[in-house]
Amino acid sequence: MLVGVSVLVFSMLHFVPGDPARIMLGMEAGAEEVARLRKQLGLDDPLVVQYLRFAGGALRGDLGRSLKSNRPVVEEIKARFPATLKLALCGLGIAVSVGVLAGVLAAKHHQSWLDNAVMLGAIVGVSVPGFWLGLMLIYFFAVNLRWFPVAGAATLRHLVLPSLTLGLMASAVVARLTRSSVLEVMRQDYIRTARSKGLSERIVMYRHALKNALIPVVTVVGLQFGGLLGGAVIVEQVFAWPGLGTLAVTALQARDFPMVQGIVLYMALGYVVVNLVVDVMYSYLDPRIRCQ
Amino acid sequence: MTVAVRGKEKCPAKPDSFSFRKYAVRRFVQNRGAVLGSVLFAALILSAILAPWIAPYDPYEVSPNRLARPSREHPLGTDALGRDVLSRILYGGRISLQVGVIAVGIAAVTGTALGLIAGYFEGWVDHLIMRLMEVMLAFPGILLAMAIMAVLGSGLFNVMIAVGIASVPSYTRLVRGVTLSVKQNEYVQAARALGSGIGRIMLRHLVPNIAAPIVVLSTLGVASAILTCAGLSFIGLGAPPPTAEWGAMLAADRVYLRRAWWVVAFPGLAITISVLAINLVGDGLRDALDPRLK
Repeated sequence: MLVGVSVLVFSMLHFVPGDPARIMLGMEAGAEEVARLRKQLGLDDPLVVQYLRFAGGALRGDLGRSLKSNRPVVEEIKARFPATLKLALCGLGIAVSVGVLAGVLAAKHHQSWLDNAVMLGAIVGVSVPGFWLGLMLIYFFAVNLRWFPVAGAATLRHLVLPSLTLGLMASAVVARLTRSSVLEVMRQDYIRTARSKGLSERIVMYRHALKNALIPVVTVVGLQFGGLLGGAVIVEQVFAWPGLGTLAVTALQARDFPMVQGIVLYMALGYVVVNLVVDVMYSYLDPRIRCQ
Repeated sequence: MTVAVRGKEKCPAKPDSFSFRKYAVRRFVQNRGAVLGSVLFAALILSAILAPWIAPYDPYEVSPNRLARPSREHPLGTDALGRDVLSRILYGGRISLQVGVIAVGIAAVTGTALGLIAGYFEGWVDHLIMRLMEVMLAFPGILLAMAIMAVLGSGLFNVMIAVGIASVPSYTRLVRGVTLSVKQNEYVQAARALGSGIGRIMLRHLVPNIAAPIVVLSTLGVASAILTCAGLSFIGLGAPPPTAEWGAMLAADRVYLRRAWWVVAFPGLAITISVLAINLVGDGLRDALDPRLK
């Protein structure tokens, strides 16, 4: 899987029009100078050799140097990654708490106004562009009410609006799935058994239904994490958040390809790892899978 | 022979006969969200087509009346260069719809073809295609689109290609799954026995069976393509200024948020309403056409 990802990322870079050596040296450099640098960078070797060198380097934690700052790509990514991770995790926390709560309430009051409101909120939530939601939150909570800072990442209060932006968007998907999953579980025989034992509705809901209903939700939360990483790319722009997203956009605009390559590889890696964790968690949460 | 004769007889319509089409239409019409979405969607298409006639101003006409509040003259105000926001939003609808439809067209055609091939032939072809799709799915969607944009360079046309390519895997997966099961049917074997070529089997027997889920996926796909495109334009990879594109409008004028909320609020609202409308239609279609997808 990761080999495939690295091949794709590597070959993309090689489809890029323009000579990396030329980009590094600028337009005024002489042909001889460019040729020397090409040789130095190993750009004249066969593609397979170049790929193996790239993959070998990547395995050892070396993704080359940025064309712009000439610093190692890995170093820059390491410096920025914690900020993005913090944002994505806070967003995920908000998404899960808001989404599960809304989904359970909607299912509990199935076909009531509350259910309709949650479903409407959920479909609006998947339709809102993140950058606009972020800007509107800035307008209301930072510009008008002055509760939170407009942008930056200095204090904990800076974290509130960007993670709220990401979290609210992701919570829409979580809410929808939680609702349908709870509704599904409520039809099962063991819920009828629990009710007929005379258990209170609260215990039936939280001890019997929710436990089972949350299993598919875990998968979607894992998938959402990838979406959050991607969403962070744009939301970080809105809040001038010094994370991987801002780095990626700057690198793209400067056509700093090793940097783009590194970030994309890093994020895909994160996504694959999270999905692996979800798979493992799945078998932990659902004994039926472990038995198979 | 009798079969052929019977086929030509005019069959009187039974009042209680089950028509899937009627059933689907009824379910769609009974869905309030779907109807609301259709109305909004129709309004969006109409306003995009009629933009040159209904827009009060030229969307590119600069005037000294900068950052004017919404008023009778400018219902949604003016932007930092004095251009009418309403006119720009109306013209922006044309771009967004175009991008959404073309990107989805690229994705649906490529994805369906790959899915048909993978599902029909199985074996190493299937293996190869599906591994590639899995690799593509390992990237969060917008990131894959950004990586493709890095290769293609920025610009609206490249946005369509990038968004299109990035959404191919979901079509391929869907079509492959359905193809694998549909090709086991006896009518497909019969067609093969009668000497139908692969192309004919795919187009006449397999495609009609996968049409419904593809229509649903494509509708929802237009919505997400519009969102992604606006996002890419927002970070400066899509439509270059001064194009009247919703994401680009937001990006250009976001610095004036403090002084003039309308330059940011309305383009974003336009994106939200359009995407919402298409999502509502897509959800309605899904519930009406293919309850399995739910």
